[in-house]
Amino acid sequence: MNKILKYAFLAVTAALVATVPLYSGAFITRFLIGVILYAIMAEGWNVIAGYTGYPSFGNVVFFGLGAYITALCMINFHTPFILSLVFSSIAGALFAIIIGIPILRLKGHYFAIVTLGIGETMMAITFNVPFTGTGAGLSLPLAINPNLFYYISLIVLVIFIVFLKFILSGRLGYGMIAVREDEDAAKMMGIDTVAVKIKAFAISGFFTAIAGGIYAYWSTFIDPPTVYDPVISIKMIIMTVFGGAGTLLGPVAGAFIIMFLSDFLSTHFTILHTFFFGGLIVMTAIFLPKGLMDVLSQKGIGWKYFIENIRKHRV
Amino acid sequence: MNIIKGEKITKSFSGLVALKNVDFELNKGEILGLIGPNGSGKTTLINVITGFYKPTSGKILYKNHDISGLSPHKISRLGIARTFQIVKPFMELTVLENVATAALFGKNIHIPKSKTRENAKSAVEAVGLYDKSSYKPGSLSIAELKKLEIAKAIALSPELLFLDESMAGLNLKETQTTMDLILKVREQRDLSIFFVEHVMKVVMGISDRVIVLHHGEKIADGKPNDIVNDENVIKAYLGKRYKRQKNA
Amino acid sequence: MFELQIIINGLLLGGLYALMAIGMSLIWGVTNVVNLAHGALIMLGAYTTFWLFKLLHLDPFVSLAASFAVLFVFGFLIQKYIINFVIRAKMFITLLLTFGLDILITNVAQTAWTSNFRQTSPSYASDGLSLGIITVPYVRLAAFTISIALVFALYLFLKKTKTGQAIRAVSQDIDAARLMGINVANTFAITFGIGAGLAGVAGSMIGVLIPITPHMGEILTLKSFVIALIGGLGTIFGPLVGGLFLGLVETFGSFHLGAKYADVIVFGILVATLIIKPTGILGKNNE
Repeated sequence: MNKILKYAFLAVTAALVATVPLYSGAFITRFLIGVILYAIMAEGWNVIAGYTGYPSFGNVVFFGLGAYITALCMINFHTPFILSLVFSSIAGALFAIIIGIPILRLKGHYFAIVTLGIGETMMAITFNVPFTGTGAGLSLPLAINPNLFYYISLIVLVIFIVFLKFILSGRLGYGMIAVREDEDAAKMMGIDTVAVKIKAFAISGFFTAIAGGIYAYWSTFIDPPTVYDPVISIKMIIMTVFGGAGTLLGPVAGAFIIMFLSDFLSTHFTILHTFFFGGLIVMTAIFLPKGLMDVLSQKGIGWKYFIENIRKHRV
Repeated sequence: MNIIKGEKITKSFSGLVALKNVDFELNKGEILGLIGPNGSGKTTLINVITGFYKPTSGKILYKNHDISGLSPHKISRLGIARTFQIVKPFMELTVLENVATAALFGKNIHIPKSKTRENAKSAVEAVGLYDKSSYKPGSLSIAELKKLEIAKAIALSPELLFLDESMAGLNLKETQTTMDLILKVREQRDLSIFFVEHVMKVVMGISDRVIVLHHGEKIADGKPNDIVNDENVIKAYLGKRYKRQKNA
Repeated sequence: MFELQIIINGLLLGGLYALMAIGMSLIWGVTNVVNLAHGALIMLGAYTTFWLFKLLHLDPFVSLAASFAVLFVFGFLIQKYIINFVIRAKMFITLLLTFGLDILITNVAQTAWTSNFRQTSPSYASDGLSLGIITVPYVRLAAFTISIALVFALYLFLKKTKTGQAIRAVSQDIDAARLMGINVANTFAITFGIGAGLAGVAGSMIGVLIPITPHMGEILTLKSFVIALIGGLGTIFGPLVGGLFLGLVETFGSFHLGAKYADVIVFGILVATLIIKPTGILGKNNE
């Protein structure tokens, strides 16, 4: 009986989520599109960082690249939107493989800072090559039905989560976790760690680039500082870490909660919003390094949990 | 018949010679002990054989195939497993998950996933960690971590197992149970074992044959009893210490 | 003789770069924290000098001391009361935390001082020393000289003073240092304070040369890292070599490829260095 109730509850929730644009206003739909796009990106970061242990600080490059590919396809070749998204995703995965081969050999600080640099570099290149519209940016055609973006991004997110669940139950998923936990031990188990890392990065790039493509058409205008903004990288990171890196639904929960708080503060307490992201990151790193999902899984949680985090990590 | 054989293995690190023309041979089903003072090149030799370092020169033949210079994951898939001197458990996974991950890879890489579960469980049982299946490594003792390391290695279904100081840091009783464990595992799984050890009693007790490294060179190779009485070995390594152990 | 002028410009810039990066290198080497807020600290130094110049008409080179003091205290407090809580956590968490600090500082600066371009422009800003075919701008020459002097001062401080010796002891072995009676948490905080102070001084002088904005730090963090990396960790003069090298390459590159590509060049050097030798050109082989 309980099981039936549970499934009924899930079905109703799913139906409600799937039909949001039908009964809610444009404002809420718009907010949720933002949440879903960030959830896709956070989940993309989760694949390479949360599961594979390579914390990229520059995943925004895939977002920016995806945005530009979709924009250029639609403007120059009048490619249909969905097909443009396909091109974006392929470009995202290919780019991840190309940059992944040299940089996934790096560890720790070195990997982090190189990925940080890639974002800055792509921004500089996009500014300077002629066919990207340089600093002036690109304007896309207006979409006929804005609700389209809600459905498409929701479908992409669902596909991503199902796909990731499938991956995680197979050898690639176990390989990713083994690489995260100890790369030498993973190698000696017969895991081709190089291939695992590149595949994980490619998956990350693939879906993040789709989010970029959807964003481009949705916002109708893109330029380098907007789509290569390092703050986008940081948002995916903090959403994932806050929700729970290395958990399937943590990033989605993180995206929703953080976007909600951010939106709430920016409309009601503008001055507080200034401190929001930086403050949230600092607090999360100190008190919640394992994320919300870890807190929820602990029984009888109290102040001790947070104090313990500090006690363990200070000198 | 040998399962693995090394011919004139030399390894140098930017001019510093760590191994010099080392020959060794391990017969199928045999337990070969490797001893030597600190810095004599024991772990370097294992790292060269298992692909973590490329040999500067020389050859390693596994079942008569040249495997020198192959990457570790390829070597692992051929049926060679190892433990690490400093244990490398997956801290965020439970004991069973640790071993279940191993069971998916190594020589099992082409077996359907559903069929690897049993193997993982039997490896956990074999080392006596079944009661702690759902514990995370953080709550295990050193002896248990060493056993987990062995369980992960045998879950890969190897034919040849390298044990890098599996007894280091264990007390007498723990050492004894681990020794029994190694003998039992060899019996059950038809393994050939190559192990590096510091604890003399262990080496002499269970090895069929022993080789001795000193300054990167092999200085002796033979039955445990012969090794103990070998002039060179006594001079280089055992010295007074072993005599004391023997008298005690 | 363009080439000679470029070399002069590159070297002068490089000296300032060395000072900018040496704080990051010091903090990294001693506490093993790569401070992603380093650029934000440089930015704060630039604003400190700018406001002292604008409101109190204090000469920018006089206010360097104030800039150092302000940033020293700021850095000390950040390390002692924020970063110290995660100092032994996973490396990623320390990176995340300092990135959070970077965003926090940058956003506060933007709210407080807007995104308008500012510049500290003393009356002598455009004067220079003419040596026949080449010109050496006074401010760049002064910035270079002060930078080099401070690098040597840091070297002497670490070698000769008690605090300096404590810092070096802690960077070698925390436990051993503790046994010697050194307060590790305070030593880390002092190290961070010195690193921040030097970043502040560098920022003060950078603010005389280029426009100041709240976001100027982002690329400077990256450049500091590249310089620290080229120089290698655990050396004082490494960043000096790295800084001069980057200054030269960047100046040459901008001249021949166009200034727009300066950042791309920096990144190219970063990747090339990491591929050739991940521990830095002059670095010791320790992770």
